[in-house]
Amino acid sequence: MQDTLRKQGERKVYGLGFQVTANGVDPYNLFMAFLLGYGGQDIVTKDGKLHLDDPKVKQAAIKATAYLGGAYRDGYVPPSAINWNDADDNNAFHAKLMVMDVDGTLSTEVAVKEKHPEWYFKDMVSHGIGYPNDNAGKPVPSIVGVTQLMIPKGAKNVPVAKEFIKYFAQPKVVGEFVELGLGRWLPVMPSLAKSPFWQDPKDPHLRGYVQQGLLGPTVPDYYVFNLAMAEVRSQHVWSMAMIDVAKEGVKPEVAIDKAFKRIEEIFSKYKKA
Amino acid sequence: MNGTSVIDVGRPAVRRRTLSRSLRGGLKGGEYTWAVAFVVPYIAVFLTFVAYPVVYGLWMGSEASLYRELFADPIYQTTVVNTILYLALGVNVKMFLALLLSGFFMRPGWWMKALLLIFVLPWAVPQISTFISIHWMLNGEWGFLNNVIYTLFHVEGPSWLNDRWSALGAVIVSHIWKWTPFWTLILLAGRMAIPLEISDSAKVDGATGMRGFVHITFPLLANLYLICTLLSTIFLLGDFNAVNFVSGGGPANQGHVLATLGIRNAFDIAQPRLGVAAVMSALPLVIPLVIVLMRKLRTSEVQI
Repeated sequence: MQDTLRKQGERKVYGLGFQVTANGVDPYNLFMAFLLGYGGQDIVTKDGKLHLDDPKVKQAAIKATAYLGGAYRDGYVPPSAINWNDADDNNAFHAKLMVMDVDGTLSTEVAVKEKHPEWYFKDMVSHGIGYPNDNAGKPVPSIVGVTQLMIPKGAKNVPVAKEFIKYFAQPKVVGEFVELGLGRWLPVMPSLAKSPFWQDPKDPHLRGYVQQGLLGPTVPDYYVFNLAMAEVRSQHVWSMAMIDVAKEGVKPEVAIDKAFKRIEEIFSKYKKA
Repeated sequence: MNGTSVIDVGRPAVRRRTLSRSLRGGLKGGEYTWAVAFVVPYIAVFLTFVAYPVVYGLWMGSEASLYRELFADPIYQTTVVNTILYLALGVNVKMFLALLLSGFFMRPGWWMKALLLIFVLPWAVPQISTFISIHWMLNGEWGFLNNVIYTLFHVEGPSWLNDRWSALGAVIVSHIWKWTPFWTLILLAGRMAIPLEISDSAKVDGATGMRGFVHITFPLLANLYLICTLLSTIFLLGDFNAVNFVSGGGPANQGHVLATLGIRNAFDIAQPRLGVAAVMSALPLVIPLVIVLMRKLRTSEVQI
């Protein structure tokens, strides 16, 4: 696609909007989606144990790094992606810098729904219903991050806070809340996904999104199993591996060895704690 | 008589009076009360906004393990090198340019005053918006600079912020662009304070042009120049805006300085103590700088 567009004289159009950057949460979500797609689901199991010695996990990490970093290295990702923040891939897509964006929510789509419905309904295309299967033909689960409500320890008015949470967690309230957000966020209750809003056949994005993130196979984000994974995300360990391949010409195997060493260091810190 | 001399009896009373007088600083009655009333708000503000944050920061960054973790972090090692380069080039190039430009703006004429007005604009405009503008100007795909290069030469410009050295260079140039006018004005004021009699008599003795600068102007400006350099170094060490808004500490965390790394550690990776430790690690440089600055300020006070 990109090569064809370039031949047609398009000077600045790239094929892929991969967030090969060390800012924000997008690069972690992107890498983890590809890690799971390549079969690395068991990187952390439900008991909180890390499995970097599992050859399947290692191969998946190498393949994900090679693909994502390689796409940048080969010129199919905008060069500025290396400095992107979470909103920048959305901006770049709207500025027609690339043909395809990969993102964790429908933020890019719903941003234009009100002002430019023709873009939302005609020009922008979401991938069909749910994720495609992996290379072995098996369904790939989607990682679901849940936004938690919490009452801080020592809060002054705990009963009122509990009352509010009780009110807010009602399916009717949650359902209206996410629908008023035009579908940027998914509801947590699968029953809500059956509503006319999410299942609107005229909407080109919502059914696929809700199938992928809620109704299809899902796994919780891995920090649920071990908190160290949250630091792996914030330290941008996967990003550094992608960037090593993308920019420094490092082999994916070497980049992943370095990343695994860093992940082990982070996990060992949490063991001590 | 109980055997105690008059001198012995009187001594403590004299001491008490002396101590009380020195505390009162020669003020009497209501004057002293007013003085206390004026000083108390300052002391309260100082304790709340200066002493407390500094002590709290020292306490937060007091664990040795924090510094072991920090020094082992490869990003920190890169950051230290960047900070040294930022200080060395940012301060010295800027101050040297300011010294030269202050001489240029000493020339007479209304147009020189108009030019000075234009020259100070970068300093006068809000810094965050200007640094964000520079960031977008340097964008590899959409940026103004690369579009100009393409329009003029039909070649694609580089991605300026994708390389560690060009990104750091962009930050340094942005800082110099932003702050040179300010220091030029300070040095211009210093030049204007040199009595005309001195330069006139030097001219009579043949010290004109470069000789006049080397033997008359610069020696008289040297103390001010040094104080400005020290102050600028301290300001720059705490500078967050230029790095954060021009390069964002990128690419891939290779462009941080201590101030931005502190914020990254504290908020992006949610380790506030590690963030404080990153900033505190600059103290071995800051404390000697402040001491030298204080000594120079005392010296200049005597000279005046």
